[in-house]
Amino acid sequence: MASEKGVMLLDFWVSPFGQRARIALAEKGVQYEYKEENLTEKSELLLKANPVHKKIPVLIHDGKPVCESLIIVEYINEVWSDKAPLMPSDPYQKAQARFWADFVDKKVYDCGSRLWKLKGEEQQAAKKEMIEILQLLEAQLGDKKYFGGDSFGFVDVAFVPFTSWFYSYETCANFSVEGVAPKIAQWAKRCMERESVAKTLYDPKKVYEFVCFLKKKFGVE
Amino acid sequence: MTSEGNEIKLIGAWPSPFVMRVRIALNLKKLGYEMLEETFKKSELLLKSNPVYKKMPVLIHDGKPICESMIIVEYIDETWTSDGASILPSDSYDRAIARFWTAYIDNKIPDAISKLRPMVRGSVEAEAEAEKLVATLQVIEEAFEKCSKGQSFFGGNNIGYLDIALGSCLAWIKALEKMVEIKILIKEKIPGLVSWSERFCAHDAVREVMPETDKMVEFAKVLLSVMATTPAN
Repeated sequence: MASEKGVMLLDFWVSPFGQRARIALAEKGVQYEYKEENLTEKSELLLKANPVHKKIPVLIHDGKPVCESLIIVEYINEVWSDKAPLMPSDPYQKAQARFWADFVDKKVYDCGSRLWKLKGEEQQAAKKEMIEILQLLEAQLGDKKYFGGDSFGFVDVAFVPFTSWFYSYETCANFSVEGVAPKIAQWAKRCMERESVAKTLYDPKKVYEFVCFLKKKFGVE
Repeated sequence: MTSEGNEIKLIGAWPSPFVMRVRIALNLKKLGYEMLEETFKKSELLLKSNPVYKKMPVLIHDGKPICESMIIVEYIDETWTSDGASILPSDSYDRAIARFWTAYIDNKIPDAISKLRPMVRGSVEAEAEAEKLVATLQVIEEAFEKCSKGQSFFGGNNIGYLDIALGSCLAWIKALEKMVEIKILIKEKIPGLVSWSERFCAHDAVREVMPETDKMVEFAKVLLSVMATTPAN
């Protein structure tokens, strides 16, 4: 990579992991160049910037690559610290934020994928798990405006991209997020009032179209 | 300087690399703590303090629980800032790199250890699995060259976040070499890491919490027999 000044993001339009980075950059008002990757034909730049995993998102700042979405969000938060702090200042609150963002990371995408990839009993098991995950997150949110309290924070950034997948999860597994976790449903609507989120997330129906495309590709009925 | 009301308890067990990470961090900051040793049956306190995963380590600081080993290490670093050296690098980019490699280690090494542990000594599958682990370490060797910049540790002159993440796995790695009769810390393949591992294990903050290889091997036998007879916890 040339040591050019500036910020570039290697990404894939519907990736919730990429969206975390986009939302963080938008919250901070950072100008950057967005580069859409074709995941079936990864660019030289991506392979060079993330040789270990060859995955998006990759943030390239002044020629230096940062990989892994939550690591990218923490990096963005630390470098552009003058605006929109995404982490609490208290170490205990920070530890809690990291814990729950990590929980979202470990659980939501994998469980969500099982909802549309699997059928029958396995899908039912995944559905049960997703409901548990949503209810745990709901308990964590409580009556707060955001996971970060009054300010939109790290856990909000980590989780909000998955809200555009709720419709897909609901349709594939036949349940309602609002039914099992109403506070989460309301939180999702509140987040959409933020420009950074509204401009980054795709319409849930469009995400569902993508899920249907994946189902065909993986030969799922 | 630590003030009053600084009661630190650690729920853990001496063989666990994840628990060791926290102990090393506490040692680096010269902090006293009460070790609440877990047995194979999970304590009420553990289940209450970590209801989400029900796993150790859990640090309880003035009654408040913190879970996930590397999150605890960061918490310790951020809470006790005047005691001892900084555990995380000060530069944001260096921090991102340390976190990246820590995630890589956590993604690969605990699984590799679990796979190797029950394998038959000198077996073909053990050899194959050991080769995979060595290949993983060869990737980390490159990271070591870049991060250490010629100094003794990933963190520079003193051990840091990434040293702790990887170094805590050494007790199991050495135990597996003995138990399963495989070679992992091969000087010809990962020279930097082999020298680093010797320095790490000799470090003041590490020595007393790094179990001896023979003790780990004995424990492994107990663990394997417990796992064979009880359902997954």
